[in-house]
This record gives sequence, C-alpha cells and structure tokens, in this order.
Amino acid sequence: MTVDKIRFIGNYDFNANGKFLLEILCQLRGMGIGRYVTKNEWIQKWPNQPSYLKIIKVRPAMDRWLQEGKVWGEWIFRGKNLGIYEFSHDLNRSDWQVIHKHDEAKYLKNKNSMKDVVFSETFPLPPLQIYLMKKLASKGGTKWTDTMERAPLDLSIDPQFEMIRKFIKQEPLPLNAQSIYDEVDKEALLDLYGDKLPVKVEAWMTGPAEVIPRFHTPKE
Amino acid sequence: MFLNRCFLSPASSNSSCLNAVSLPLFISSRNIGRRTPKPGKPPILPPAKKVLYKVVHPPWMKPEDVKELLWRRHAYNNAVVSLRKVFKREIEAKEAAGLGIEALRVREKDELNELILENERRNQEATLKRERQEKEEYEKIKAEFLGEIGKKLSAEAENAKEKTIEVKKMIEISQTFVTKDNLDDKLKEALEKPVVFDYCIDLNGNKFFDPVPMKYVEGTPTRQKARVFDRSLVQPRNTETPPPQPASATSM
Repeated sequence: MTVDKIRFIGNYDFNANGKFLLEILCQLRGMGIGRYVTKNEWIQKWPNQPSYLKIIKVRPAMDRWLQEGKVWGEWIFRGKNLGIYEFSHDLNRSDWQVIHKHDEAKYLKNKNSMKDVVFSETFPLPPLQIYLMKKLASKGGTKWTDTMERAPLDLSIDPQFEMIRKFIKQEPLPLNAQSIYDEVDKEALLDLYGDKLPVKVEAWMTGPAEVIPRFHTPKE
Repeated sequence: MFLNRCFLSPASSNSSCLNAVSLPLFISSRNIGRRTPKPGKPPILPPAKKVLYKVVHPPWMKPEDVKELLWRRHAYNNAVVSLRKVFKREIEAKEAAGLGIEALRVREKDELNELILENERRNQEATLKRERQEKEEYEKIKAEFLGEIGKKLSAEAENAKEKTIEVKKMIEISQTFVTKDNLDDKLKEALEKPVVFDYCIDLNGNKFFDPVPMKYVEGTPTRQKARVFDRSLVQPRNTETPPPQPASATSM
C-alpha cells in the first residue's frame, strides 16, 4: 500500500542522527570489537574535543529491533580516557555513528581535551546566617573571626556528570565575593553542556538531578 | 455482563440506549459482580478522535534565560547542600553542648520533678497549718457551745425553780378556789359572811363604816341611801365603835 504523504506526528527524537549502536555493531565484522563509534550528540556539543567509544565486548539481547543488550567499551569522553564502561541503558537512540578506519586518526590524534571544572573549597554564608552565628558566638563566649564567614562547600553533582567526577575539583581559591554566583566559573559550567544547550530549564529540586521512578513497570 | 458494558463505554457500539441520557464517566453498575470496572476504554478499542495526534509542546524559554539558569543551578545546588550540612553541624554542636532538644526535655523533666516535690512540701505545710487551725477553732466552738449549753441549763434550772415556787403558791391559793364542787358551799359562805368595802380609812389604819354594815337588814331601811354629804361636819354616827354618847344625842 503506498501513501502520498508521510507525516510524523508528535515528539520524536529529532536530535538523533545515526543508527542504533547494536544495529551498527551487528553489521561489523567480529561485532565491531576494536572499532570506534561516536555519538552524534557528542560531536554536536563538543565538536573540537574527540569523544568516542572503543568496543571491547558486545552482548546484544537479540530483540527484534536490536535495541537492547550490553556493550562494553573504553570510553574516551572529550579527550579524557574514562576507562571501560558498560553501555546497556539508553541504546534505543539512533544516535551512533561508526568511525571509518581512515577517519580513526583524526579522532585518536586529536589532543584537545576538556578542562577541569574548578570550584572553590569555601563559599560565603548568607548575611542573616552570619548575623545569627555572631549572636550565638557572643552568647557562647567564642571569638568571631572573618574566616568563620565562609563555610566549606560540598558539591552536588548530577548523575549525568558522574563519569567526569574526578575532573570536577575543589581548590582553595582566594575568592572573597558576597554572592555564590560571583565565585563560580560560568564558562566552565556551561562547557559541561557543550554547544547545544537544552531548550528549557524547569523548576528544580535542590540536590543532584536523580530520576525517581514513580511507577513500577515490570519487564516483560 | 452486557448490562455492565452498556454503562461503561458511552462511545461503544452499544451506546444507542444511552443517547438520550448523559451519564457521568464513572458510573458503575454493580448489580451482577461487585468488582469496580477498569477506568477508560478496553485496550482493544481504538482511541477517540479527540486524543489522536495530541502532542504536548512545553512552552519555550528564552535561550538567554536557559543559559543563565543552567550554570546558576549548579552554584545554587552546591550552596544549598553545603548549607544543609552547616545547619546539621550547628545542631549537632548544640546537642553536644547540651542545648539540644533532648537536653531541654531532660531539663524540663527535672524541673517538673522539682516543682512537684516543692508542691508536695507546700501541701504538707498547708495541711499542718490547716489541722492546727481546725483544732483551735474546734476548741473555741466547743467552749462556746458548752457555755451556751451551760447557760441554757442554768436558765432552765432557774426557771424550774421559779415555776415550782409559783406552782406551789398556786396550789396553796387554789385551796380557796371556787370550783363546781364547792360552789354551793362557797355561795352559802359568802352569803353568811358578806364583806363590805364601803369604808373610809385614815393614815393610822382606822376604818370607818357609815352606815355600819348589817348582815340582815333590821327595821325599815331609810329612803335616802346615797348622796350623803360631808359627814365630817356632822357628829360621827354609826361607826364600829360607837362614839362617846353625849347626854342629849339620840341615834337615828
């Protein structure tokens, strides 16, 4: 049956430009072990920094659409070698591209890599908190020093940046601003999201952006 | 079952019976089975035209706002997470120093116990005081009562004494009372011994009767019985002891 027009309706993964990972690997010799694959998302976000995956082991679930399975590979993300990672979760995105053998040099020789994201070790306390602490100190009899106006900073890192956690550091920077936003490196944080920023930032809950599953969907 | 189906799905083929009536979506006819029916349509039925091709597009944000929010969110989350730890440490320090809630509760409990003890002491003191006072009052009232009782008794005794005297006197007097029994005798006696009070008396106690009373009227009584004039101007006559008679005087 032929139709004149095909019209896509609804929200689909319009950012995806490629194939499913297992679809690619099943068509390569030896399940693509030793070959390199990239994701279109990485290319678009950080076009100058090489991000690729060297395949080590593939175990597809042999479902109809080759969307489920496990792939182990050495992950070089933005020029940094993160080690061997298992990719089994989000394989139903047709975003993957295989790197041709003659293009491999371009990726492997590229020495650009992501810079560390550096946070300060302390942050300035809010003025009301300082006032109350001074009052408490005077009541308790302890002396108030200027260093007590800053408290140690604990990082709250989203799960999506877990793999580059060791590149997010805290150092004793000589900052002394009144606002926490003045002490943070804006460009470094935006660099985490690359060139393609999201379309919307919704109201967030404080803490890492964890996915809390509300409904129990049993696996068939 | 047919009855259930009819009520459940207004858009189904069996809806001809429902065209005239508009029913709420969740009516359930539980006459046959007691289970509530599943919500919505059975999965085999196609979706309604209203819900076909319905795509939810979230409203767009300005890219500048998105950019700002993206990096500010990290700074904010870091700060809030650290502040939570700061507050936690503060609370723990307070607890360690004995200012925490648990220590407060313990202190309150101790204070309550102390207050209860003091209250008990006060109560005991008050009891003793009350007992003393009550005893005193009791003694006082008892003395009063006894006094009054004594007074009453003595009053009664005196009264009794007086009354006995009176009664005795009465008894004595009553010997001469006129009763129905001795009425006849007393009348006879009164007639036998009449008492005349028509006398005059002087300071020495001498009585003068004029005329001298007579028990039985002797002779003819005079016509003039009253309206007697000053008799002192006249020679006294008809006295009890007849006056010394002059030679020429004659009695009436």
